[in-house]
Amino acid sequence: MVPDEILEVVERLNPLGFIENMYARKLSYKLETRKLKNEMESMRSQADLLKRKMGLEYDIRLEQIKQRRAEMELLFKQEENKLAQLTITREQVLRMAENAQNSALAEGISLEEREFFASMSYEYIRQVHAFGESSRQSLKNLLGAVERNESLLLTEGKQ
Amino acid sequence: MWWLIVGGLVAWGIAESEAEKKARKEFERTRTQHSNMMNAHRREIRHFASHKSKSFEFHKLRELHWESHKINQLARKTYLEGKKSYSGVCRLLDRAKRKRREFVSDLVIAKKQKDKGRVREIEENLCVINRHLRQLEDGRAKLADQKESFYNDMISLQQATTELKYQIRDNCGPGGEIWFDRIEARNESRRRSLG
Repeated sequence: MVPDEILEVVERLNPLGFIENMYARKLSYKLETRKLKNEMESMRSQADLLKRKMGLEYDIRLEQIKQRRAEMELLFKQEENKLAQLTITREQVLRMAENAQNSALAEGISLEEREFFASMSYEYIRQVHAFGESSRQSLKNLLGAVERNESLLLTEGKQ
Repeated sequence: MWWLIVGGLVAWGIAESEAEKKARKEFERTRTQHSNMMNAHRREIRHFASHKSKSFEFHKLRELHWESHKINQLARKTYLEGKKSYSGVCRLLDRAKRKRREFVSDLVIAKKQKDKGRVREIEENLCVINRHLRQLEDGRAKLADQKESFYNDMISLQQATTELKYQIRDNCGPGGEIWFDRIEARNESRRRSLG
């Protein structure tokens, strides 16, 4: 038989409650550990996903830049040809103005002829100026395209 | 008999205490690992994002620089053409002035000779030449304005291109610096070859 005093002490100490607490704590630690491990796993996969997404977005943006380069090359080629044509025409018209002036300044021509060639020469010079304005328009078009491109690129850069 | 029960309880208690200690250690180790991993991932993603962003910035600015450079070349050509046209009209103006001087000296001679018919003829021609000169001066002024504005366009485009070049050097990391040095070296060798 267990003496009453010992039973009283055992009841006071409550060893089963003590063990029960330890067991509950152990379970709680194990549960928290499992939770942390799961979180780590999901963190790893989320980080991979995020990196893949960022990489994909970067590739898409680079592809857009490449496409723009191709478009701009075409536009530059067109405007370059237009400007080259304008240059040739301008030189020709300037030569025509010189020829008209040669006639206007020649000896032994009538007053009417002199007047006619002189005004013809001036008309050619006005044409030269007009060709210059066309060149300016070509440059403006290009600049507009570049600025549009720039604002698009800047918007994308901020995304 | 009760000693056995007490002994059993004590042994169970010790075993549970050991298991709890082990579980706590494992939990603490995992918590540290979790925290380290979170920081490492954050750092890694921040670094990855910054690397990608810098790389995109480099490509974007390099593209803008290329476009700016191309348009600058065309602006330069246009300016040189404008300059040529302006010189052409100046040449015409010089020739017209020379002709006027000839007419004026002819007029002096005709007046001395009192050849009224010749005087009238020269005066009429002078009238035409003076009108032609005024027209040429008007044309020259217009072409001078055009040349000036082409020059200003060229200079502002040049400045924009140069600004982009320095932006690439300063904002795009080592890639930008290498690109800048290569461009500078190419420009230098071109300058040297041009003398």
